[in-house]
Amino acid sequence: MEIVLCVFLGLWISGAGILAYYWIKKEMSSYIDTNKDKENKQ
Amino acid sequence: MNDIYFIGMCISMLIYIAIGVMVSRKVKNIDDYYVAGRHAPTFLISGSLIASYVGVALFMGDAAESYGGIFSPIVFLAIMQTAGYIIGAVFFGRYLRRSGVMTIPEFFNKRFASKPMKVIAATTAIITMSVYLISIVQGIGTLMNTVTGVDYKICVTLALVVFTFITVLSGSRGVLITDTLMASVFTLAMILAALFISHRTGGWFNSIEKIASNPDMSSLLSWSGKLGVLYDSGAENIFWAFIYGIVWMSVCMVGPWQCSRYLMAKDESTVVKSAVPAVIGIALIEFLACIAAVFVNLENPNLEDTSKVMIWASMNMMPKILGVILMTGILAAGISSATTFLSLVGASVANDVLVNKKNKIAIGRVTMVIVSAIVLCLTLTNPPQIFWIAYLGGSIVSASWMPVALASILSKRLTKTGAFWGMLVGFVTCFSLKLYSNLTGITLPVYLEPSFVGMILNCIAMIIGSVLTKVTVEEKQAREMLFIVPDGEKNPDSVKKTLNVVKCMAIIGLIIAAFLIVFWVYPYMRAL
Repeated sequence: MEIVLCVFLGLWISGAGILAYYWIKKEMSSYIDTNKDKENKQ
Repeated sequence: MNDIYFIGMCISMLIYIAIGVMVSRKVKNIDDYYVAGRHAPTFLISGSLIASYVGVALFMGDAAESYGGIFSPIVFLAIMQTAGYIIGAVFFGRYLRRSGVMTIPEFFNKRFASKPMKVIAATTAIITMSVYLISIVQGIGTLMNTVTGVDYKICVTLALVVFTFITVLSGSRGVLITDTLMASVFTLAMILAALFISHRTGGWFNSIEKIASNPDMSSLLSWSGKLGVLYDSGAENIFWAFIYGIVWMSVCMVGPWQCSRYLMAKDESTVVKSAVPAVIGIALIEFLACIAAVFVNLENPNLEDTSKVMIWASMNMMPKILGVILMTGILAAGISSATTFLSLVGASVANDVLVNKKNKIAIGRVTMVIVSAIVLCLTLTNPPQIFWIAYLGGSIVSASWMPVALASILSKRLTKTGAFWGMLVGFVTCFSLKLYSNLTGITLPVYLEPSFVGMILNCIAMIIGSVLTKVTVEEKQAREMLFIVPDGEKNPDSVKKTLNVVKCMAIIGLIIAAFLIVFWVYPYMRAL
């Protein structure tokens, strides 16, 4: 059971990291994509 | 009087004062004083996050609970809460910084175009931080009095004068620097203390094996903890830890003394990056303090006042010089938290309460001196109730602030009415239940934990308030403004670096799990 707690904690923190990663990627990638679009248009 | 400890503590306080004086010369304007010029680097933000979280309550409260038998639930909630730094930085801290405000109540005012929102946020913040400050000062006084033998009132007054002087003089810039220095001192002190305590009890792995193989002690390190200390079953203990993990995670996410640090960061990348050392630092300090306290059972299982377990260990199990370093480290933890709280109360009064006044630095300084004087009077006239007040502060923040703060970013439908009633209902519910529980001495069932109930009612009030009213054009525009990425943040390389840092968090979670298995679970299970 102690191992289950440790694994849960690891996944809890990792999960927060993954969630944060996709949120930032979603918000910032739209900006990066826009830049690429502009470059393509040019 | 125990001279060497008193001298050590006085020297450390003089060093912090000297730094405060030096930093105060660089304070040139209101931004410098309240938000450190908005260009603090990652290590200062991380240092301040750690220092303002870690206080006397950790070294005297969490360590005492672990010594008494609930190591596993305490470590579980302590590590669980650290995820709040990642969520808080990414989902709230970046937008908070982007809004360009000076205080968090000002953020709520701007986001909802509502003065009542600012009033209620400022009121809850000032009340919470002031009472929290009392608990910190009482903790520092108890610590200094126990260690040095100097009268409690003198200790309280001395500590209060020191942190008031540093805060009033140097503002948030000084607080960031002294916080980081103090965080380094107590982190190093805790690492050395844990190593020395385990060495004294026969070595790290051997100590765990001794505890596991002793039928009277084996429950100290088991997943359930010692039954009856908290609740009568392991499941209830872990459920309690889970609830409090959520509560303190909320504090790490949106607690004013935590996320206000993000207003001082030089850019959004710094906000996100600062979460990484905060997660690692707090998880490490909590684990070391708690397991070291459990090891003390091998040397002395009969301490009457368990809150003094680390003090006893530093005076009886360590070389004197290391004991002095640990005690000055714990003192630093208390003072660093106090400087943060005092500076935030001053900033909130100067910016949120007395909005139209011109000389905001002077107003903030006068406020801090007045608050310190009130705190001194209340501390000297009330018996120490360090942990109850500290837990009350955390609970109120999670019940009143967390749902509203996150929804203010994530929800398009949240209106100012919903946000106002959510915050008010959360605050009143949590405060009333806590007060009732403490005045009557009745322990509420784990599922009726005040902060948990407050959070749920907060969400319900937010939903009802938002359903009954419509989002105004001003509110809509204010939210949209938060999602406009500032030009300075559009550098693709910087974005890539930020993403890499966040990606690292996923790996760090697994490393923390592996660390716990290697340094706690595996040696424990092997010896059972």
